[in-house]
Amino acid sequence: MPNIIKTDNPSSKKHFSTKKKLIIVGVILLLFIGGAVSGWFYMQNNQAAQDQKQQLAEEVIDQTTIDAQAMARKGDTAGAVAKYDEVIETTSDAYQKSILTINKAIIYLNKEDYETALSIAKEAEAIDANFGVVKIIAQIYEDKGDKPNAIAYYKKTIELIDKDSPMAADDAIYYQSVIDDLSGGN
Amino acid sequence: MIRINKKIISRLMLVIIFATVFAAGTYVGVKAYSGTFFGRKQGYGYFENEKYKADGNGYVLSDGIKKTSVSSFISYLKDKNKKEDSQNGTGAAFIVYTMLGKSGKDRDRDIDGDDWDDLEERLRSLDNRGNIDWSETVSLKINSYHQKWTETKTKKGKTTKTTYHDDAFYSNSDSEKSIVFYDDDGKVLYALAHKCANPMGSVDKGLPEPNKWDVSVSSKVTKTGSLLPGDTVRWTHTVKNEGPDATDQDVEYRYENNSALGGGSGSDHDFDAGQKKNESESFNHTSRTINSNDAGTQWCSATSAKPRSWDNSNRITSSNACVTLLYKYTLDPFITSSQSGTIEANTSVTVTPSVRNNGPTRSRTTQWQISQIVVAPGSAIPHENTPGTSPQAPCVAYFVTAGASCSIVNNGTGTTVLSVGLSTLASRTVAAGDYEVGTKLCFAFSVQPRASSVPSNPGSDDQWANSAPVCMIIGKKPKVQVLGGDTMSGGIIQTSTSSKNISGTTRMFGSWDEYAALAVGSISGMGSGAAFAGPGMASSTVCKYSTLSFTNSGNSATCVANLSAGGGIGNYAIAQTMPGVAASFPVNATDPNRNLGNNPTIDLSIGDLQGIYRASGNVTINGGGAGKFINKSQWIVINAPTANVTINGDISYTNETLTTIDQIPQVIIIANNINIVDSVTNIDAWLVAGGYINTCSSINIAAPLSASICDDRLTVNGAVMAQKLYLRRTAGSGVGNASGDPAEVFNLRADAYLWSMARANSNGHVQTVDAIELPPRF
Repeated sequence: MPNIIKTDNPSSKKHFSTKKKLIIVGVILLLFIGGAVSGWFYMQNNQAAQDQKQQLAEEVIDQTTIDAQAMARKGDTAGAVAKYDEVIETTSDAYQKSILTINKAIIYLNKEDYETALSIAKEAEAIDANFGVVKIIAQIYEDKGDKPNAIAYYKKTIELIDKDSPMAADDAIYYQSVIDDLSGGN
Repeated sequence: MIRINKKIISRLMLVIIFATVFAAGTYVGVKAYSGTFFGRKQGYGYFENEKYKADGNGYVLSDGIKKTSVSSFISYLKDKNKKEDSQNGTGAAFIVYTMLGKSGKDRDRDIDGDDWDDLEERLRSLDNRGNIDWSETVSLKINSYHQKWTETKTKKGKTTKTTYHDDAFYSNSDSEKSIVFYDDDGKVLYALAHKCANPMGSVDKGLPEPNKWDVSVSSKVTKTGSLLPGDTVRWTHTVKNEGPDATDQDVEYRYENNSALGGGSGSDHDFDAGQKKNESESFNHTSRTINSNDAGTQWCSATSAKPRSWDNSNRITSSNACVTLLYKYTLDPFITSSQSGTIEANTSVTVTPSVRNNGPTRSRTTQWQISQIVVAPGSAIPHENTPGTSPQAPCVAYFVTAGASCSIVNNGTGTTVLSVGLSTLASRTVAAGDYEVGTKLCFAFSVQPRASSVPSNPGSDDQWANSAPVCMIIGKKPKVQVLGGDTMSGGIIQTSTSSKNISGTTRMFGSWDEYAALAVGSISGMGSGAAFAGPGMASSTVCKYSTLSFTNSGNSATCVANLSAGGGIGNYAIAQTMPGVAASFPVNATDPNRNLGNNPTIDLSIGDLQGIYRASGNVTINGGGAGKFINKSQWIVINAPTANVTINGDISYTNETLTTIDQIPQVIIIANNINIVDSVTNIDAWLVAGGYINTCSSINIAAPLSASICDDRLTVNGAVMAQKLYLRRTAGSGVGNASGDPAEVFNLRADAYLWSMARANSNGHVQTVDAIELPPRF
């Protein structure tokens, strides 16, 4: 049996203890950071997956809208309209059809071609008379100076406000004030 | 009993600790996940990162935002941000920070000056590029809204309520009329709905930071040639990016003409976006071809560019680059006159100055002068027939000599510009002065400077150029006066008149008759009733000087001078022929003592000629000569109707005192033609010619006269009758009051009537006894 000479060196013990502590703290930091990064990426991937799952159709609509608006902005009205028409054909959802159609009407509204805008907007209304469609029709009437119809459609707009919207109350007040202004001007 | 190794327990504890730490890190990471919008997930307030609470919500700015310019937009937000802890204060901060792309973490609602400046720069950059539409309806999937909630806290029994305002994003596809901010591709970067000022669109990046750049522009002349007609001028126009960043939009630049080139501008050239600092681009621009009338003008062109900088859409224009077009020309002046040769004093002379610019350019502003040069008789005309130059004005020395004076008729003081080629200036009518006959009156035209100043010929170009003078000689219009009788003509009476300014009054001078003037034909120029006697007639008219001129006035009770108007002077039919004077003095054809023979030379005052004589051929009458007179009671009739009589000397009656009319001497010369030589000044005789009477036969009757030929006045005292009367004397017609002095005077004095009466009385009785007491004859 080998002789083991135990030397009771307090300084050496203390040094060992400090080193051990530093290692432990380092490991803890690494674990914490690793956990944080893992959590970040998980959430990000999870969110993207959820988005893809839920908003696939909406993304198409959004991208179409972005592209068409850019084309219209550059003066390519026909191209913008074609862009909307192309996507409208691919969906059977009435709401989506109406929103894409009303977006097409907005191209002409911005060009102050109110008759064409109104004609297309009426198509959208026929498909689905929702809040987004009706308020644009009201705006077209207002911009072309047709106050009675503008008032009528703003009233419909108020009726169609989504009560769960965070702006429902302010919207109701706002559209009523528009009606009041238009009525006062009659 | 399970024996647990102490070491294992220790390691297990370490694993548990590590797992716990990892889990804690994971939790923090999950919690730290930012979501989509500026570190905030949907529905979480931008500032407080609190989930939406139901106390209240609505529009980001209660009154929405409808602005039409960057300035009003910024001012509006600053105003809303004044009360930071309110809905609008929070909303304004929310809008500003999200436009700047800033995270909401640890951000208060107090917007500092740098952030405002940053926002304004970004907005101006977008606005200058046309990437802001202040009213456009857009469809976007991201919307935002205002949050409001109240928290109640109790501390040490005291309850406090705190109201919070915040704003959050959420997914909500919608279309709103908005202020829309686009990128250069037309895609929506950001939008603020008019009704609520809710930020919408792809708002996670904010508005792009602007590229900051300014352009400088410059122009320089890069080709000029000789700057004379036919050349062109070329400019180079440059635009340069002065940085510090690259340009982020196209800059249009062009030339702009100025000064004499007018205000036109060229078409735009593109300085494409993406030009780095100090990069530049140029183009050349060439002027139209210089023409002769461009000389002396300044042609300038500048460079203009728009936009001038990243934040200023206005135009920047460089200073002008200019050239002054040169003059190159020489001038040759000349002058023409309405009169030439000989003119009478005070004649109106119209002079027309002209100048030929030999080019190739128009002249500078040029002064000019019409000079009148008066040259005394016998003196030389200065620079006659020779144009020349002078350093001084022409009347200072050039046209001045001992015998010539110079004065200015008209001048231009240096505003006349002469085009290439011939230029004719306004004519000037000058009344020739009342100068002595023989005076030369000249006119000249001068211009200064005579040529362009060019380096090869400095100095002399600035001189006067003088034309050769055009000259006239002052002559006269001789006049005749008929005194004591009428003038009667079977044809016309035509004499000249002269108008002169005498002591400030225009007076007319001319030939005149003391009594009546009668002519079968017209009478022109001849005054009657002593019209022009004395110092001429002021305010003269034809009718005024024709008061005793006979005319057929028709139904008019007044004088009508103009023949074409139914008037005219003269044209008075006289049923009368020239009296047969010869028949009144019958000559004894058989008495040899009464025949002076063929071609005789007769001295009337010598010898004892008395009575009627006949002669033939060419009869020469010497008169009496100096100091010789026709004596008292002597009368001589030379009745030679076929002879040509030449009077060589004065015929003068005695100047003795006569006591009876029988003592009146008288001479009557009856001939075919009567010629009077130039030296004869006085003829006391009747002159009756079946042909003509020539008052100066010393030169050919068709030869031109001058003031020095036949220049003695001839006075004829007696009746004068002839088929033709050649008035060839040039005497008289002097200056001033002597302007009407006659060359010939025909004076039918009373002695002619008295002698006739005496002769008639002596012939009125019949002599029956003729007793002559003769001496005794032994």
